[in-house]
Amino acid sequence: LTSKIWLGLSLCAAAAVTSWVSCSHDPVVQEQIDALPAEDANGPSELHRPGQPCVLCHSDYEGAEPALAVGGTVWQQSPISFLLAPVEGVFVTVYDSAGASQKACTNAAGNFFVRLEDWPDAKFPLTVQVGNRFMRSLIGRDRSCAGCHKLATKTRVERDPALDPSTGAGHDSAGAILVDPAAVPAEERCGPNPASAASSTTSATGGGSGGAGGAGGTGGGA
Amino acid sequence: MIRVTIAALALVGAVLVAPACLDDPEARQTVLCPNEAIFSAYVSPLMERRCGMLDCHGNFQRPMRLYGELGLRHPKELNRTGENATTPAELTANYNAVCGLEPELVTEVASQPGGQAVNKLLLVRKGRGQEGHKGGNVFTAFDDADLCVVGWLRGDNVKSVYQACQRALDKLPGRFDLPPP
Repeated sequence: LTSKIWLGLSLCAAAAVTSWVSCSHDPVVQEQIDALPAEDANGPSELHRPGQPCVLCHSDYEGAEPALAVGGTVWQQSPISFLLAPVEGVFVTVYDSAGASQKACTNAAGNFFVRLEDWPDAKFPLTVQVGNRFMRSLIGRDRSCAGCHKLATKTRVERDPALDPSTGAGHDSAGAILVDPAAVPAEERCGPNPASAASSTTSATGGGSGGAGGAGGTGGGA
Repeated sequence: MIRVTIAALALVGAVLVAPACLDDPEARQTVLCPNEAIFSAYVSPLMERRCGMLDCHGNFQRPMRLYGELGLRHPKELNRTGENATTPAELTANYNAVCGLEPELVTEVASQPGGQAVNKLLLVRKGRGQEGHKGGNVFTAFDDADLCVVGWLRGDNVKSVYQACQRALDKLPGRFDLPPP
């Protein structure tokens, strides 16, 4: 009898473990997380992983803190080298379908984000304004801007004959979120180093990995 | 003797049944779908913008995949998201995606313009939020987007479809003027 009890308990435990694993594992999301580049040398911070889909990890699934309602990276493109550089000090305003909005300011890495606790009930679809630019399409459900605004990668260059290797625009992406700091109206500038003509790139700068030093403001309701 | 009889009967049965499993080319059905020109001119622009975002139906993995200027671009062309207007190949692909979702039912809808079958279509039920839909309730019965899509399916007057689609588009970001009929 004791052995039967133990067998029953073992089966129950096995079933519980199996169901927990299957409920907490999403192969689609996990594959995307596994495909992300290695963490920045300085480790996680608000400046880390510019251009990567923030909410893959900053979500209930992966549990990275803080959980984000929306997040992304703003870039400028050098007119000479066509390389990307982060844009610091520009407001990103996200509007939801219920008429609510949130403003976030890009930091030194070009990153911006709105914490989930500040906007737990954002109603999709969303629209976005960055500096003087308005997004022409709607955001249906992806809280990571980089889910659609993808940078160029080796795999994408190989697969997409239309891909712009500078911005990442191609068949399935509008590419990097681009803003000309010189064209940002004064009321859309923010943070300790507001975007300005002086911060506009005229020479080659790298983009796509690692954040520069300095701090940028983030969050803030509207 | 009994075994031989059973075996013989089984063989005869198999021979009789086998042709029923063969593909009969004459049995292919033609799928009817409402007017393609009206879809391309008025309905597709709305669906591209409201449903075909890159994170929704503008995704390669979606069964009802929509192409368009602001979303996914046709893989056999060299356009990029946000550049160049939606192409004829993309409009055709969108039409086929919408019509191919439920071919038998859409044939019934097209065969009986003005009929009630339109309310059974997954396209309409999902759009209205009456069926599980990750994008939620995209339109409600008799609002402009509904009158645009359902009006086209139902075979409504082209002018009313145009007007409904234009009004629905006017509520979305950016300005997009449809060509008057």
